Amino acid sequence: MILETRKINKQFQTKLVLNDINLSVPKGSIFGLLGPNGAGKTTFIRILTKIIAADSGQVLFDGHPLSMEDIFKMGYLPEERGLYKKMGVEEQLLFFAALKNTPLKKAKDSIASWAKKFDLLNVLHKPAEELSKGMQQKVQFMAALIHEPKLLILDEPFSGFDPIHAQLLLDEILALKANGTSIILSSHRMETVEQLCDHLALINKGKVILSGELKQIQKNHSKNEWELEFEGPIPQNNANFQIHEFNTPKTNCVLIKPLSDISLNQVLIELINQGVQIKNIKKQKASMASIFIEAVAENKQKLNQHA
Amino acid sequence: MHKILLIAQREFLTRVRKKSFILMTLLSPLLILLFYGVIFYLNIKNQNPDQLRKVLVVDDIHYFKQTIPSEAAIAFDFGKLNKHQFENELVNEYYDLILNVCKDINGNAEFSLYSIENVGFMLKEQIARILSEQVQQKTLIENGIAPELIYNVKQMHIDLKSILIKDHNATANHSEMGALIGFILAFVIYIFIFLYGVQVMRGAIEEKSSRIVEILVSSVKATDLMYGKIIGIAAVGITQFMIWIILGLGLMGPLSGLIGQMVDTHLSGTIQDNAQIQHLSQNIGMEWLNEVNLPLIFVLFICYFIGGYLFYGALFAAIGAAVDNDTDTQQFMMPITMPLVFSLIYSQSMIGTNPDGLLTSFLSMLPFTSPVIMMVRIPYGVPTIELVSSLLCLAAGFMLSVWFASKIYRVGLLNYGNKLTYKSFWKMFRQKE
Repeated sequence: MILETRKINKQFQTKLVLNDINLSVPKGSIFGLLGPNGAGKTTFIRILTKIIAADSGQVLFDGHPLSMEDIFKMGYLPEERGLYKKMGVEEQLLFFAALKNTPLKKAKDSIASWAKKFDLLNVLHKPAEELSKGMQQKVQFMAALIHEPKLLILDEPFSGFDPIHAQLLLDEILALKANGTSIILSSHRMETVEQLCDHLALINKGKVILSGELKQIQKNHSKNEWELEFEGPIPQNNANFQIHEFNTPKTNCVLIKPLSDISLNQVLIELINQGVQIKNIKKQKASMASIFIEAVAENKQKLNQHA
Repeated sequence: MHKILLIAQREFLTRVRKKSFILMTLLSPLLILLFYGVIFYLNIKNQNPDQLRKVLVVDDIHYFKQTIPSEAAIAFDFGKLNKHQFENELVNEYYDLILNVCKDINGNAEFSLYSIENVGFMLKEQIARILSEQVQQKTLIENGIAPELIYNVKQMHIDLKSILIKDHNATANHSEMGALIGFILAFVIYIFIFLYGVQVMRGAIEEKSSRIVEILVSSVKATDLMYGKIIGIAAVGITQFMIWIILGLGLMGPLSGLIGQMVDTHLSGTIQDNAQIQHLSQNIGMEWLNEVNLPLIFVLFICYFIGGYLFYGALFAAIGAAVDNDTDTQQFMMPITMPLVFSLIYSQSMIGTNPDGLLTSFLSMLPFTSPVIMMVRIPYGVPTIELVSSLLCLAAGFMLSVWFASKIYRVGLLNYGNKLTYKSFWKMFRQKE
């Protein structure tokens, strides 16, 4: 594990913001941190980066208690981020690298290679305010990376990115993972989480309400529901299954929900008997969005019951 | 420590390299010089107009036994004219004025000044003064006083020494000169705290509003960030002052030559003004140097300068960290700047009246006011015990303000978009890390 937390608690005035957070981030993986606004994600990240201290609990980095030295092995892209407007791009990147104790030569090489990748070589000497917004975002991303961190923490990295830059960022995150960098990613964008994350934790009201491997979570939440593409007559409800319309760009596509223990074979026989031409049928994957919404709603119900 | 220096270095370099810094550093002393130069020039010019006024003295009663000595701008000639010729003479423009001396009905001398244009009151006063002196001198001579004696009496000038008796020790005190030095140094502290304290605040606001601060605090402690900022900006200020001092010393040579020349050309030839200059130069002679303890003043200046800046700089930093933008700062700046402004105004009135009063003693202890008040008091002589306790109070004060500010700074920097009140300051202060 690159990072483990044990029973992290944090209280602001009377509000309990984090309540016994236990999480494990495996080495070389992308860990998704999900949760509605105000769930405590940013506070949790600030504790991981030692910006603020937890009231109680422990953070382990690479197996040992987190120290100030470990902070220099982390890269952090905050949700609220910016640059010194009047300062040259390379100059401020070198400044950030120096704050992370990176040797000058290494920082310069790293800046040059990233700038090449991001097509920023000819703006390195310009003050940040002369750069376009997309360019500034790339520079901010670089600032989190130039010291070659073992663990990269990205808080809403895609907010404000246009689709082209978002794709670029996505590719780079995957490339970093391939190079062995561990990544914690906090995001609202469920499709990104599905695309990128190996593990995830869902935080709501300061508590982890769901965590584990993405595939396992999706498997656990998948239901006996099938997407059917067809031609010919429209499938009809019968005693063994129900037909539902669902949100899809495809035409002639419905959702089939078999009743309790009806097998797919039985469903297919029925459909063929109805004269439906089956073009394609697949199990519907539980989307992270629906899992997210379901889990939050379930949690709310539980809390209400307790109250 | 390494981090603090890195932050300070960045603050220093980005500020010093700005065009506005270079421009302000070079321009402001020039502007000040120009300002005072113009005032000085106008002053001298007023006293000594370029134009030479030629006055024809028509002495009907042979009042003056000898000629009246000319001054820089006025030359007297004697001549004989009838009253009806006066206008003609003046229109011909050789003489600007005609001074007529005749007898009034009591047989006393009567002086009248004739002109075809209005005579300015300064010129009239000047001529009246010259005539009075002549009349006094004539009267004294007529009563048997030797002209040498009169000249010697005119040159007489006493120097009032003020002597301080304490513990059976009498020490001469040159408080005027000391007070001037003290006040100038106090003013330097005042300006420095204001100019650069506000820069500390602006710096914090800038980092907060550009949202760069969270990137920074993930690598450095917020308190280190604050220390670095305060130190870096102080370095900028000291650099600026150094440049001004060097520029000042460099310009002093040619400038004093220039002023000397101006004074020479305008004032030469008049006994009266020469006497004034002599008196002036006696007063600012080197004598006071022996009695005003310059090294002590200098050391204490450095102490109060640094202590005062740290004390106020930390408070300004706290405000900068807590607010979101410049406009929000006003209400919180007021209570901080008030004592500073007050101390300057108070010290001005204190110089003339009561350098040792109770309120003064109290204000010399308070870290809010002591840097300015004490600087003004030191040249008058302050008891060592009072001086030491004032410095201790200031040290305790800035440690307290830095501690207070660092707590606000840590919490405030990451706190966006909340309406700020004095209560929220208190909450930030109380909040655990």
